[in-house]
Amino acid sequence: MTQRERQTPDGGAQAPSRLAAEFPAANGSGGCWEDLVTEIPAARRQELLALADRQGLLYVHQLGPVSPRHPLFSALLHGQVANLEPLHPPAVMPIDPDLDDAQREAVARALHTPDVCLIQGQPGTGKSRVVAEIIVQAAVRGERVLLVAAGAAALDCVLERIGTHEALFPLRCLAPDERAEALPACVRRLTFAERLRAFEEQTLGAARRSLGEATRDWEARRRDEAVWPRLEGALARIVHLDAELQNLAGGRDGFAGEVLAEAERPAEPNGSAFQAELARIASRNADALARIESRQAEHRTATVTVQAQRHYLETEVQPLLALAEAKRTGQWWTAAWWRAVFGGNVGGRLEELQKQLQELSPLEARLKKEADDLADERSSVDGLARTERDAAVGAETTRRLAAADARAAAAADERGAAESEWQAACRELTDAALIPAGPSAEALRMKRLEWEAGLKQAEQRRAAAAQSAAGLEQALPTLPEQLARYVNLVVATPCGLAQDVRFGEGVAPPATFDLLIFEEADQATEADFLQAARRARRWVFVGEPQPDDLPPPRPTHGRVVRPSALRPGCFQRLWRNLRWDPRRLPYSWEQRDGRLHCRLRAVPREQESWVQSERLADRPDVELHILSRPHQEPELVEVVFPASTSVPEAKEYLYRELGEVTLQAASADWQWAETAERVILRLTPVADPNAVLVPLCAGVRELVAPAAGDENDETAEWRTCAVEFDRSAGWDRTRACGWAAEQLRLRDLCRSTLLTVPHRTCPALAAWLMHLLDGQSVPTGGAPGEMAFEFVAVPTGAAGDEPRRRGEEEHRVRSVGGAAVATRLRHVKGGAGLETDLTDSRRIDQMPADLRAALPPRGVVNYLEAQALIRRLEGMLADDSFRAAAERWQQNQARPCEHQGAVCAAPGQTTGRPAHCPAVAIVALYPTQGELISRMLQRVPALLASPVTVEVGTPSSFRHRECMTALVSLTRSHTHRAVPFGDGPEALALALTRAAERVILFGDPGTLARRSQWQGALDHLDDTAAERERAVLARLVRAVHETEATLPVFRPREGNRA
Amino acid sequence: MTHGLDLPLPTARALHGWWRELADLRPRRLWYGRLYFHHLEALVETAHETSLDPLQRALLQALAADLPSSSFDPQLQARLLSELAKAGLLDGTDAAPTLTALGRAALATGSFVSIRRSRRSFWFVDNTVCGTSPCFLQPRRPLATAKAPEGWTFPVEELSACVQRPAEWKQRHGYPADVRAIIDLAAAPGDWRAVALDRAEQFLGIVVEPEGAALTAFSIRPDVMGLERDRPAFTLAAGWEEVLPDLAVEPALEEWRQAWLTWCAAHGIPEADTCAVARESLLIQVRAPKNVVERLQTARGEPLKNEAWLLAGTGRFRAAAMFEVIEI
Repeated sequence: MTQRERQTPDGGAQAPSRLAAEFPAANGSGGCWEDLVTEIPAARRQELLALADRQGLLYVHQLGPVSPRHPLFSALLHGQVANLEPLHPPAVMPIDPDLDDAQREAVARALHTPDVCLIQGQPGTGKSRVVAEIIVQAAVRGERVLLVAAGAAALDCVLERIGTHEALFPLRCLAPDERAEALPACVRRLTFAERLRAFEEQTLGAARRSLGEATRDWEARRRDEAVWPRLEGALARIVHLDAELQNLAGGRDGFAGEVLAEAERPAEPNGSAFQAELARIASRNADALARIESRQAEHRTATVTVQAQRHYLETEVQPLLALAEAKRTGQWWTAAWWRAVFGGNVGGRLEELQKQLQELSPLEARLKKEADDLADERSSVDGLARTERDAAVGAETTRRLAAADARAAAAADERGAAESEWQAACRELTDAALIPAGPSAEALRMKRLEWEAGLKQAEQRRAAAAQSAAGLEQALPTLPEQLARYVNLVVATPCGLAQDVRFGEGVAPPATFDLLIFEEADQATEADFLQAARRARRWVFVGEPQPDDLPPPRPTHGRVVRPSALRPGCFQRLWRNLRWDPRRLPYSWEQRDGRLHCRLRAVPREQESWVQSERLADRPDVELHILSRPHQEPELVEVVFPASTSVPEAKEYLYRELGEVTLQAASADWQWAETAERVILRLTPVADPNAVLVPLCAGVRELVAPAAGDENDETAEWRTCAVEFDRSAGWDRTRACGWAAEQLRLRDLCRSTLLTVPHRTCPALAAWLMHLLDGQSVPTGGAPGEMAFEFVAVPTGAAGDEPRRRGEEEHRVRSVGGAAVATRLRHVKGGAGLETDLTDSRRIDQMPADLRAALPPRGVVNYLEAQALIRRLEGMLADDSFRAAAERWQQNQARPCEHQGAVCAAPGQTTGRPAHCPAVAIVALYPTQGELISRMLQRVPALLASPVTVEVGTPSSFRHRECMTALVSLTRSHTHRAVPFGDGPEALALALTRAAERVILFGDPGTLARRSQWQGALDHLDDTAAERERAVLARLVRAVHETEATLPVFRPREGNRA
Repeated sequence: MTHGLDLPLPTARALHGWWRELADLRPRRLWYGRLYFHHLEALVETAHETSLDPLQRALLQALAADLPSSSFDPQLQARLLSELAKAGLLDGTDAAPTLTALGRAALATGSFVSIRRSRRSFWFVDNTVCGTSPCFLQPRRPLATAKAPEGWTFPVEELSACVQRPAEWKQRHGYPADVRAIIDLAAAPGDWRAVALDRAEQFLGIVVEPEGAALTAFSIRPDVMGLERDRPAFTLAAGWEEVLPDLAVEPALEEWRQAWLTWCAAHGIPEADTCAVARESLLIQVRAPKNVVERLQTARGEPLKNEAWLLAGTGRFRAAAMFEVIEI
C-alpha cells in the first residue's frame, strides 16, 4: 500500500499510521497494526500470526509490550536497534547498468528497507547516482518519493540525471530565497510554475491546435460531399459512352448482314431510303420480268401449239410409216401391206404429214430461240436487278459504317469530356486516398463508403478534440491540485519543503510519501531530519563520512585532548548505531618501549593511575595491565608481549587464553564474501599478499598484514585483512555471522552501505585521495608520465629562498630549481609568511595597489601563490594536449540535459551562468583568495581568450560539481604558527575531490609541515575537526617529502619558477 | 466483565450542571454510564465511485478518438496512463494503450468504480453485560483507550456480518457504505495486513434522550468530570434499543427508592426510609414527612436546589432523574 492509497479519503475511519504514532502531535492513538508489526521480533510475529489465524483476530493485549513504543527515529538515534530484523533484500535489476556491486547493494537495501537505510561515501563515490537509481526504481514500483537535501546543488545534481525519466513526474520546490531563473534549464522546468506554464502553453495549446486540425479535417471532408454526385454523374456518362462505343465497335462487323437482312425483309410502308431503293429496284425488275414473262407466256402458248401440232403429226405419221414401209417392201403377208393397199394414199398422206412436220421444225427452232432469248432476257433483268440491289446494299452498308464511325468519334469525344469531369472532381477531393482507382462504380462506391466513414470519424474526432480541449480548459482552475496529485517525486531543501504551498507544513493533511531520501544528510540538523522524516514511512539517508567516523583520538602522552565542541550530526549517529565499524573495536596493537602492546580496553586518562602491572606466572615475559578501580572488579586492559613475539603469535595467544579476537581494522569498510571453500569477513577491499594467517579456532583464522601508518600513528603496524571460516570445518554464512556477532558484536542489519569505489576520479588520483582522506595505503602504481596529483610549493623553500615578508623580488627567491622537496621540508620550522591579512593595513606586500583596493576589507590572500597558480594555468592552457583534453571534457559535459534539448551553459557563454562542470576549477580555500585570483585572471588576455572553461570559487561553490582539473590554492603561509586551512576538513576534502583527472595543490610547504605537527584544537576547529585536517595534511606533507622520485602520479613542483 | 462496579459516580451537583448544559436539547431521559468498545482495525476491500479528473478524461478522450496525446507532458502522460491502467480503464501502458470496456464506460459517465484494499477502523459496543452480541456504533469523537476487561472477546464473524447488512441499516448506523468485504487471513493467508486487531476503548459519559430525537451521548472527562459538550461522542437514531438494550428498561421503583436512601445518607438526612418514592413522568416525587422536609430545607448548600438528582441502577448505565420533595 502506498502512502497515496493510505491517504485516500474513504469516508470511514482510516487506520492510524506510524507517521501519526511517530509524531504524537498528529495523532495520539497508539499506532496501526502495520507499524506495530514491524516492531515485533520475527519469531513472535509468527506466533501472533498463528494466533490470529486461530482466533480470527488479535487483541492488542496479546501483542505484549510492543505498544506504545519509542518513536523509531528517536530509537535509532539512541541506538535502540535490537528490534530491527536483518534485511535480506533480493537483488535489484538496475536501470543504470554501470552501477557497481556496492551501489547495487545500496539500491536494493534502500528499496526494501521497511524503516531506514543509510548510504555513506566520500565525494565521487557515486552517491547521487545511487540516489537517482533508487528514485527511479521506487517510482517504477508506484511509490511516491520525497528527495530532500541540505543544499539545492545536491538536488539539482540528481534531477539532472533523472529529471526527465518517464517513470517520474518530479516537482522541484523552491526555497524562499531561491529564484527559478538561477536553476539549470533542465531543473527549472520541473518547478511548479514552469509545469503550469508548460501545461498551458504546450498541453492546452496542443489541444487547441488539435481541435483546430480536427475541425479543419472535418470541414474538408464535408466539402467533399458535393464532389461525389459529380463523380457519379461523370461515371454514368462514362459507363454509357463506353457501352455505346463498345456497341458501335461490335456492330460494325454486322452491318453487312444487317443490311442484307434488312434487304431481305419486306419493305415497310415508311421504310428507310434503303428500303425504298430496294423497293424501286424490285419494282423495276418486276416490271421487266412481267414483260418477259408475258412474252414467254405467249411463246409458251406458241410452243405448245407447235408441239401439239408436231405431236399430232408425229402421231399421224407413225402408223403411216409402218404401212408405207410394208408397202414399200411388199410385205403383202402383213396387215400393214394390206392396209396400205387398201387404206388409200398412204404415201401421199405420209409425205404430206412429213412435209408438215418438216415445216414445224423451223418454227420450233425459232420458238426455241425465242424462248432462249426470253430466258436470257429474264436472266439479264434478274442480273441487273440483283446488281442494283447489291449496289444498294453495299451503299447502305457503307453508309451505315460511316454513320457508326461518326458516332463512335462523337462518343469518344463525349467520353473524354466525361473523364475530364471525373478527373476534375477527383482533384477536388481533399484526401488523395479517397480518389477512386478508376471510373468504376465499385471503386466509387468503396471510396464513398470510405469517405463516409472518414467523415463520421472526423466528426467524432472533432467532437472528442472539442471535449478534450474543453476538459483541459476546465482543468485550468484546479490544475495545481491536479498536477500535484500526479507528482511522485518532490524535491526540496528542508526550508523549501516547509514553505511549499502544496507539500509544505501549512498543508493539511500534510503530504506523505512512501520513501524519503535525504541527500547530504551529514549536513542536516536533527530538526531537518524530523521535519522530513515525519513525511514518509521509510527513510534513506545519504551522506559523507564525518569526523566522528574517525577513530576516537588516542590519548597522547602528556597532552590533554580537549573535548569536542561539536556533537556528531544525526546522520553520523544513525550511521554509528546501524553500521558496525570494525574501527570501533577497542583493540589496538602498537610497538612501544621495545615491546608489543595489545590494548584490550581503552582506559580514560583519569583512570590510568589505577592501572597495575602484573606478570604471568607461567610466562613472565608477558605482562598484564589491569585496571583496578575502587569498588569495582579488576579489568584486564592491556597485554604486553616481549619484542620477540610476533603479532600473529600474540593474537593467537590472546584468543587461546582470553577468547578475545583482537581485531584491528584499517578502514570502516567491510563485507561478507563467500567462496566455495570458505566464508570470509573482508576488512580490506583487496587481499594483501603479505597477509599472515592467525588460527583462532577450528576452521577460523584471522589474516593480518603489516600496514604503513602515518608518522604520528605508531599503532598502525598490523591490520586485520579478513577473518576466514572454512566450510570444510562446518562453517557456513549463518554460523559465521553468529560467531562474528558473539566475538565482534557484528550484527549486520543490512541497512547501510558504504560506497568506497571512486567513480569520478581516475584510478591514480582516486588512490591518492583515498590515501590522503581515508588513510589508506600509499598508492604505488601509476602510469609513467601521468601526474594525477601535483603539489606546487610556493615558495620553493630551497636554501636560497627567504620568506616573502623580507621584501625581496620573487624571481630572486627562485634560485634552486629541481632540488628535492624532501630536503626543503626537512628543516622547516615555520611557513614563508606569504599570506596577507587584508585587515592589516600596515602590511607591506607587492600586490598592486589597484588589486588590493578591489579586494574585500577582510580575509586572507596569498599573492605569490596566486601568481604561481596563474603561471601554471597559463602553461597548461598553452599545452595542446591539455587543450584538446579540456575541449573533449567540455563537449561531454555540455551534452543536452537528458531529452530536453537544453544545454547547461558553460562559463563565458552568453548565459553567463557558471558551467556545471568546468574543465578547470580553481578552488581557493578562502573567498578573498578566490577573488584575488579572479581579478588576476582578468588581466591575462591569453586566459580570457582561451576556449577552455575556467571557474574560480570556494570549495562550497563546487559542491556536487566536478571538473577535469582542479587547481587548489591552500593560501595559508604563516611565518611561525600552525594555522587551519579553510573552513575545516570537509572544505578541504571537497576541494580535493572535485577533479576527475588531476589535482594541483598550491601551498606553502613550511606552513603545511607546521600544521601537520600541531595536534589539538586550532582556531575555529575543534579537536576532532582539527585532528582530521591534521591527518590529511600530514599525509600530504609526507607524500611531498617522500614520493617525488618513486611515485610518478605525485609530482611536487617548484612554484616560483616560471 | 465488571462494567458497573468500578464506575466512577458523579456528584448530584455535577449531574445538575450537565443537565443545565444540555437544557437546549430538552432531554426526556438521562443516563450516566460507561461503554466498552471494540475498536477493530481490519483489512477491507472498498469500492469507490471515483470521478475522472479533467486530465484523466482529456487523455481518455484523446486515446478513444485517436487524437495525438503527445501534447501532454510525457512524464505527466506516463503518470496518467499508469493511474488509468491501474484503475483498469486502459489495457497496459505500452506505446498503444487502448480503452477497456470499463474505460469507455468511465469516459461516457465521467466516473468509475475503483476497488482498493486498506485497513479501516470499526467500533462495536460490547454488550456482554446484556447477553447480546456487539453492535456496530460509529463514534463521532475519539474514545479513550481502556484496559481490556476480563473475558474480553469479540465474535469476529460480526465484523463480516455487518458488510452483508442492508443499505438502510448501514445508513442508519453510519456503517461505511463503500466497504465491500472484510479481508481476513482466510482470504489472504500469511498477509500481515489481513490480521484484524481489537483494541479496547471506552466511553464514559452521559446519554440523553432529547425531545423529538433519538439518543445522543456526550463524553465526560473523568479527571474533572467535565462534559465535552462541543461534539457528541455518538448518536443513535431510531432503533437504538438494539444497540443499547439496557437503556430500554426503566429502573424499578425500588431502585429509585434505594437511590433516594443513598442520597439522604450522603447528605445526612435521617428518617429517609419514611419517605415514599414515586415516579411522575420525568420526575421522581418523594413524599416526605415534615421533619425530613425541614431538615432538607435547612441543610447546607441548599441540596434541593442544586443537588436534587438521583442515579438509579447498578449496571453499566445509571438512569438519572431530578426529584422533588412533597411534604406529607
